[in-house]
Amino acid sequence: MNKNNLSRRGFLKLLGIYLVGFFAILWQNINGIFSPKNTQPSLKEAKHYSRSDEMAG
Amino acid sequence: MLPIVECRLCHHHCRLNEGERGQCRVRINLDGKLFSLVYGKPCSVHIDPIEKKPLYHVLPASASFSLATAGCNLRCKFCQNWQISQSLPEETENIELPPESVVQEALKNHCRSIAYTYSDPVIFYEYMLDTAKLAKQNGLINIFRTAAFIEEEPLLELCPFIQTASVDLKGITEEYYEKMCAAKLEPVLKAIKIMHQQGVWIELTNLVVPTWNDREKDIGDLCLWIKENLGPDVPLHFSRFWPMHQLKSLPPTPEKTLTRAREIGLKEGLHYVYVGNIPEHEGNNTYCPKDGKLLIRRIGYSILENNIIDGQCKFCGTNIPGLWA
Repeated sequence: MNKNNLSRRGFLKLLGIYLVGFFAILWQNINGIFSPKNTQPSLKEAKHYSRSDEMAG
Repeated sequence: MLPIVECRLCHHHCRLNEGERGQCRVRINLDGKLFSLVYGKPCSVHIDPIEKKPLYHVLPASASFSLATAGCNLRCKFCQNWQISQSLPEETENIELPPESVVQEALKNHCRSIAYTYSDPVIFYEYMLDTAKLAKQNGLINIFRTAAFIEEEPLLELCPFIQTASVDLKGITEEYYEKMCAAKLEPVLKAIKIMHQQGVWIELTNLVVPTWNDREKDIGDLCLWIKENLGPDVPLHFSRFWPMHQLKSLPPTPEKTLTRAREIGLKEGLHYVYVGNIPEHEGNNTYCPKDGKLLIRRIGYSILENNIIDGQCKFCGTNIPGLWA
């Protein structure tokens, strides 16, 4: 009967592939590629406006 | 009761209650103060050929560091960048890019100019102004790519720091501005004249939209206004419309309409009339107004030949206005 067991060599090979992938994703995260985009608006006081309590009339 | 705030940046003069935003979507009343929501937060940053602005008389074949934030103070039905111009800043993917970083990135990428573009930079006025000041100190040219729907006071504050403006003069009737853009024509004409008087190099673009502003009379009136108010040396670009945004049912502008528009402009006495968005049209080229010789040959955004030396026609020595070096 033909059993399809994973050999020690095969296991190490797969582990190696997973580890390479893991570190690749980690590295890209560090570089901000997969990090969420910053969509929060900033707040900077604007120029050229007036308030009702400063308006004439 | 917290004060109402009136924004005086553009001619909408939005009056905002607490927490309300202006028509531009990016200026908000918080605790009786007006705030910009997009300072240092562009959603589009690219390096473009300067010819894309379109600017044909400014540093030909150079790269321009181009940026925009979300929002716009106009509502053009034909907007080519509606995905960002008609969005809230919370709806776009923004990056942190303070003015110092914009200038650093522009220099690092060998750009000779910074273009405030794509949406209308009037709405990110404070960000543009601070960046333009720094850019000028670092020897970069600032490009104001705008519809010029801006009040006189902020415009005068900006003018010393911008060397060139590529202005959309979208039509020449109030009706067109009102129906097509939800804006007004008169303040735009006034702003263009102010920039011209302040020594800003101006090139105008008119998007020719079939059935809306393509009548020969409108085109003639537009050319006449330019000649009488700015002079014949201000370049005019007639640009081809592509079905977009709310005008998807219209066809693109026929080539013959643009060719005719250019003929009208030249006949009216303008020296530099171009056709845009048709890559191999002869109206992409610059010709000497005196001897008619070919000065700059363009295909799309590429320059194939340049016969302007030190701002003069190589053949007859005529001065060709613009910023050439």
